Amino acid sequence: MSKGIAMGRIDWRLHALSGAALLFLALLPRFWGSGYALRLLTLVFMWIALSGCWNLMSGYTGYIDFGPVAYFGIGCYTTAILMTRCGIPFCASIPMSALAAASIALPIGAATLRLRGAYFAIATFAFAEAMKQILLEMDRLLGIDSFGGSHGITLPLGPTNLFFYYSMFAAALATMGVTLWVEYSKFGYALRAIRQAEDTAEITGINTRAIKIRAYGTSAFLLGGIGGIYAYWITYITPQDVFSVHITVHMVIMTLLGGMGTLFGPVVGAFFLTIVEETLWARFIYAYMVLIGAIILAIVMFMPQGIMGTLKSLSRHARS
Amino acid sequence: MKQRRIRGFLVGSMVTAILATSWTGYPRGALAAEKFRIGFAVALTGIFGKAGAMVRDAYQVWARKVNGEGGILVRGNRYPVELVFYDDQSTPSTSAKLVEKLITDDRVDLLLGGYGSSQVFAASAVAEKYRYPMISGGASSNKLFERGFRYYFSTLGKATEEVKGCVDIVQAMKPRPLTAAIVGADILFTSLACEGYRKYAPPNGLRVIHYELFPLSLTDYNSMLIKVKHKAPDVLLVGSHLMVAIKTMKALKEIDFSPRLVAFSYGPTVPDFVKQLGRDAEYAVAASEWTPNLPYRGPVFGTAGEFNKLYTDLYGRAPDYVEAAASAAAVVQQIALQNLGITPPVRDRDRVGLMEELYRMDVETFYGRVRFGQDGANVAHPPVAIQIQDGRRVTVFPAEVAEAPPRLPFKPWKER
Repeated sequence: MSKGIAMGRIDWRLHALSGAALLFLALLPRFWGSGYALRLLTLVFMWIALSGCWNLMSGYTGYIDFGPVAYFGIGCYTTAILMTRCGIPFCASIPMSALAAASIALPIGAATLRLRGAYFAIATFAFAEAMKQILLEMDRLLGIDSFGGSHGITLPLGPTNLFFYYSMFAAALATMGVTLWVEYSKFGYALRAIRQAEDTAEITGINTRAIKIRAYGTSAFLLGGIGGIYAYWITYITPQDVFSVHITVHMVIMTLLGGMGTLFGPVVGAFFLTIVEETLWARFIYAYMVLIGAIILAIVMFMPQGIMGTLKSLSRHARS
Repeated sequence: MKQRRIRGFLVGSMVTAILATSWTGYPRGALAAEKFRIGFAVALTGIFGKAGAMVRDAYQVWARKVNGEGGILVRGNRYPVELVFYDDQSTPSTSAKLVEKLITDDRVDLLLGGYGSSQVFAASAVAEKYRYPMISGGASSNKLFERGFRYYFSTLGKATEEVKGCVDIVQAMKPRPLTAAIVGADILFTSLACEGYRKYAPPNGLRVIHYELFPLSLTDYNSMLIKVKHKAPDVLLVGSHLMVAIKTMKALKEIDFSPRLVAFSYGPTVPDFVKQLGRDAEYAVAASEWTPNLPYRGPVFGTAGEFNKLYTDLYGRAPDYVEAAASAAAVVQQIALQNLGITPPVRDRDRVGLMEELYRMDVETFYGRVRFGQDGANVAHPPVAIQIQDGRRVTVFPAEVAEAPPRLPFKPWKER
């Protein structure tokens, strides 16, 4: 069997599966009315979108970003302020949140992306923590009453679950769409070149800095939008909640589990971890964190390339 | 190749559609109707894990007591209660998800509230959407009551009102103090306490000469308090959690600063405060909403003292006011059910009626009087102040419920 046909087959199955999954998810609420199920799936979409954003930047370039939650939080706050203080409707707030996050990401990216390895990771982590403190202190520093400090912001009660289900679904699709484009474009090729050998890439004429900043900005743009949806969904935000390092950790773990730098890695990782957590916590309230830890450890040890990476190499193995 | 792809897509879609349709036949909600199923989501792990577990215990004490008598008595029949609860991991989105699960998946008849303002914010928004009354005894941030919700209630007063007793206590001091310094950690509950101090200082003749919110992570309390010492206020009011209260007392001793009154919004009511500070804990005053010696009495638990004994026998520790408030929330919901004669399974319109009844109610319980204002906060409950006297937590204010008079002024460190 020639390689071309084998690849074609994989493609064919993958298309069938993706098509089925999309249709299934789009129609699901029609058949399955439980509010809990919808909320759980909305949460899965949110994690797919969030870890997809992290994958877009860190998965493809190999630059480990420990501060993506900063842009998620900026998105949350932009939407909250636009909706409650300026009376701007939700639909208009989301693109503005995305833009706000991206416009802050560009200068930050320009500064931090000069750094490599652990230095970049620490700088981004520090930035996210700094954002949390800034939002806590902003009102007091400026003598205004807009950000609410530690009191947070209360948003109006949102519409139905279905609305947020489709909003997060759209966010997940958008992230997947951008990842798909990256996967097959010259831009994505450049990102992978940076991951494998940045200096060589630079010598061959790729403007690595511009490419990295573009990826960072794109990721922040999407994160800002997702944050906006989250804020309206959960109706109440505080700096401690929306700039929490736990959100970053979840994004990283999900992507690592699924497979870094792959299209479906974040999808598989987010789905897997959310569902496993959901199944375990109810039965083992106090032990489930240990169980989750053990599962993550086992996957990282035995499948260092994540679930998707391992599947890929297995299928390659089977073919040869 | 293209045809294959399209064929694949179609086959996949069809299989999915068949699977999805078969799902609708899944039987749900077929549950026994002869008992009240009451759900709540509360933190059992995460940063609020400890405090959340206390709220769970408080609900369980109530359920055991009620079931011990055969259940809730409605129209001559007794209906036992079953508690259905989950761990919200101290995360707001999880809390909201679980309340949704309780309502739509577990189909509980009624709800109770969880612990922590952020979690309760998210959870009560879901309850409001489904029109499930939610009474909590574990969250008191003012903003919870400012959303115009109709289905959220709290047996606690608002955070800013809770500290009223701590400021009013200056009425018992001679000569009356004239100046106050307010400091507190900059997180929701403690900063609201500081706002409360600021609100009640002027009516008590106190001029606020220093007001400062510091980050919860502050390590150097000495420098912060030296600033305050230089201004020499008569009274020091602290917006605190347990650790903030302990650190403040240690720093006061180190810099030898003894204002005439030192009061905390939270901390000294927790046994650890005395355990860690020993003799240095003496004279500290703290806000409280309930103590076991208060002369309250009501259905289900009897007196405050009897509730305290039952609780201590069961768990080996005395309940703090948050636990009492949580048990009281369950009691109030029970009384409303009995008043209306609602039997299980509780229907949607019963819950609307229940909400209306809660606004009408004015009841005496072991926790004190409970009457909900139009915003859902308990307006009938008087804030009390306790003081550490000889290693014990003693109710000292207001005078009509005090066990002993307050020992004021705060004794200077050098004379102890």
